[in-house]
Parts: sequence; C-alpha cells; structure tokens
Amino acid sequence: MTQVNHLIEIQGLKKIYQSGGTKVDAIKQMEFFIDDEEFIAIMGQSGSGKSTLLSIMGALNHPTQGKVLVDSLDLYSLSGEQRADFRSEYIGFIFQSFQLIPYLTVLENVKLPMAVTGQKKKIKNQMALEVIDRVGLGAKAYRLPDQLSGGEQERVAVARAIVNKPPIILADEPTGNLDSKTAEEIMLLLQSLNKDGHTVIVVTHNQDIKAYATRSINVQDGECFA
Amino acid sequence: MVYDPEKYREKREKVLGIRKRGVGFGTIAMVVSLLIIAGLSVVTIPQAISYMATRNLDDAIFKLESETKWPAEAIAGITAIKGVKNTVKDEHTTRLVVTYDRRLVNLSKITAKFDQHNLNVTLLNQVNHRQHQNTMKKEEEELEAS
Repeated sequence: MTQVNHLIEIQGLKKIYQSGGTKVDAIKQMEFFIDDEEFIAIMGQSGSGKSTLLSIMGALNHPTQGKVLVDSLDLYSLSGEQRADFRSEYIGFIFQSFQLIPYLTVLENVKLPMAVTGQKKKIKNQMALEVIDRVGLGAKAYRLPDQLSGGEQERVAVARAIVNKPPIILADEPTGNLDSKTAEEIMLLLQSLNKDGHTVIVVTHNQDIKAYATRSINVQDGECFA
Repeated sequence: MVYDPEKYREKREKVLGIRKRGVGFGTIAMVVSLLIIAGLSVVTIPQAISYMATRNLDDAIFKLESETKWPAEAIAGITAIKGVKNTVKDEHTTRLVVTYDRRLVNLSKITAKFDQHNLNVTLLNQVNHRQHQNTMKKEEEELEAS
C-alpha cells in the first residue's frame, strides 16, 4: 500500500495505443489528483485522451507507464481478480450510450452489478428499488428500456452505477445523447449524488457541464491542465 | 473534502483480500469434501477393522451324539485352548460352534479335547467365520420374513 494524500492520484501517466506499425500517444503525460467528494469535469475535445483517461481511472485499461492510486491502492499492481473487486467496490460507471440490456426490465438492469456481491435476493431487490426511486423512476421499475425516453434510460444507467454504493462515479459523456433540458436534469442528479458523498468524475466536451462541477481538468492532446 | 484513509478501510480490505465477502467457494468445497470423507470413513473403517479382526477365524460346527447336553467342563477345556476365540451352543443344545484362529490351532487339537472327555462328537461343518455369520444372518432374515 502506498502512502497518499488524495483519494485519487495520477502519477506520470502515459498511454500509447499501437495499431500495426502506427503508434498513437493517447496520453502523453498526466499528473493530477482528485480529492474525496469532489465533482470533477474532465474537459476536452474529441480525441484528446479524456475517455482513455477515464477507462484507466476505472481499472479497465492498462496504462503504458505511470501509476493510478485510488484510496492508496495502486490499481495496476493489483491482480486481475483484485481489480475486478476494486471496480465492484469503488466504481460506478455511466456510459454515453447507456449500455442497458434491452430484454431486461429497469429493475433487472439495475440489479446487474449486484450479481457478484453475494447479497440475498430480497436485499438486492430492496436496494435496487431504492435507487430506482432515487432517480425518479419508481413507477417504471418493471418496464423495458425501449419503453423509456432517452433521459429515463440515462437515469436507469445512473441508478445502476450507484446501486452498489460506490464512492466514485465515472461518467463518460453522460449528456451526449440528450437534449439540453434532459441533460440539465441528469447533471442535477449527478450533482445531488455528489452532495450525498459520491466523488463524481464526468468526462465531456460540453462546456456547460463545468457549471455543475467543483473543479475542472482540461485535457488537450494527451496532456492535462488544471 | 480531505482524503481520510480510514473512510474506505473496509472496501480496501475487501479488494486486498484481507476481509472476505461471505463464505468462499473454497471453504464450501472443503466442508463438503470433509463431510463426504467422514461419511465414507464411518462406513468403511468399521468394516475394515472387522475384516482385519476376523480374516483368520474359522468356525467348526460339532454335533454331540453320545449325550443330550454338553458337559460344562468339556466346553471350558475347549475354550481354554490357545487360539480358540469362542464357543457357542446354538438353539439345538447338542450343537456347538467353536470359533478359532486357524494360524494358532488346528481341528485335531479341538477334537482331541472331546476324546479326553469320552464324548462322541461329529464334525458337521467347517467354514470361514465371516461366511458363517453372514449365512446365519440371512437365515434369520428369511425366518423373520416368513
């Protein structure tokens, strides 16, 4: 275990993608920290490396060089199984395209991350219904995703991300597919989750999102500027 | 908010494997294996012990022709022979089953004892002790069934 002063510390991070003979420096050099219960907006244009950064912070993508320390855990020195446990315990993911299973109901989709937690079925149902209620979909728990609007589907994605009570929520362009009014609702929801104690990290190219965050980190050409 | 390492200690310990979530598959597999081994042991160990203890024993079944009742001193004399494990009179008072270790004593030594007491005795059968026990058990079950 490494001694750290912040919830998340990114140290000397570098990521190179290699495709055939072509090398792409997705992340050239990054060094920053995020404190507990912050709401961070990682801003950058398409191709700036912000989504790569998010996947590395979520223990999904090995960096070429450098360290990602979360709660003093050096993510990429952990075993694969420990990293899976890390994701289950610490991280809630929200994706731009929702990634809901179309043939499962809202309740079943939300319960998915709980499949490996070993909790009893009754408790899983209770916890899932609580978060579905929390995102304002209490009356639609037994509907299928295609019976919901885009904003409602995003709410289901948020509910699924928070059902295991992770301390960190990683959102990749959460408003990318939504109209401005629905996007505002989702950002207010994320803001309220942050006020409840979650550390929220949103990756976006939308400058309006900055207003909801407590701090922003700008990413450009694989480098970051606080 | 300033980072407090104590806040997420429980989660950290789960990730590092210090704190286990519920009962693991390994533990369940071990308990089930132990139960199977214990169950098999309960069945097989007494059988093995019984086999080891009786594998050298034979039963000789004698019939008393000269009298109607076995004299007690004759039976005591046979029981005293080294290698004779047991003498049992069955429901027919003229029959005597002598269980003996074939490594330590032979039949002639037993029949010599009958001669000593001037008893007219016929050897009806000589069988392996365990085989005799099984036969008697079967006969009892057949009797009960009928």
